[in-house]
Amino acid sequence: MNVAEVVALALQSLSLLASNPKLGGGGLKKEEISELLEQFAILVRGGQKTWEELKEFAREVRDLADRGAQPSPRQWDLFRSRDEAVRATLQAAKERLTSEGGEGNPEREEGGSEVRSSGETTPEAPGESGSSEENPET
Amino acid sequence: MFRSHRSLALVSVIWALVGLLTLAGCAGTPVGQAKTLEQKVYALYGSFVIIQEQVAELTAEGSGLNRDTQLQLIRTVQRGQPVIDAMLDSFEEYEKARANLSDDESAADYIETVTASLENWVEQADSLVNSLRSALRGGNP
Repeated sequence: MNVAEVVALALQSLSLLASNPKLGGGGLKKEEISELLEQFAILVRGGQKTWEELKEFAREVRDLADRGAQPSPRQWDLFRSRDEAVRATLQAAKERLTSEGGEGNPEREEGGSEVRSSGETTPEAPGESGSSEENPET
Repeated sequence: MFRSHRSLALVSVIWALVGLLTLAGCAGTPVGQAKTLEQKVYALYGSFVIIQEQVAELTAEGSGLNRDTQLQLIRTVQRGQPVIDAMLDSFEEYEKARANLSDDESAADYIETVTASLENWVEQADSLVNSLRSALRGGNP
């Protein structure tokens, strides 16, 4: 499936959504539909960028595999520092968004996990659960 | 504002993730290119970091996405973090065990055990993406 197909499917779902009251649509105004379209466009653009980066990274891994080499400490360190930075960014964004939601936000207690450096995560042992969608913290 | 803002946010997130994962699948996944256990761990870790970074970009101030969609995206990637962390911890143990190789029979048993554990975590990290996709198909992010 390529980007155009993803966009087409997104638009199809939008039409369905806009016309079906059970899905929260039915009474969508023109500006609401346009806002939703804008949201989809942002997400699809983000998806495409991720695809490009993963494609590039897949080349790097293939190169390692072809050479029979292992990732160097420098390669590991690069991802570790990116990981640490991005987790902090995500947590800060989550806190900002949650506080923007004000008091009584039912989403406040859901999801999330400590950063790796805390050493307090207690994930399930492999094979204990078929679903990774459950919150491992609870 | 939408009348049913949450359901719209949910649908947006579903499509975002379907898009991200579908496009990721098109790339010939990094883990699909890996041959050794070490390469697989590295490929899974790197892929996860890249996806996290994209979510961070989509949830930065002024990204244009609505608040509920941003929160759903953050929660989705954060829920995957403990699995990735466990895989990395297991990999560290595996590396240590290999570095201290000896002819001792119990050492060989230990290597076998940590390797099996790492393989399990690699499998779980790999299936993280697939199980997420299945959940999304069922409309249950």
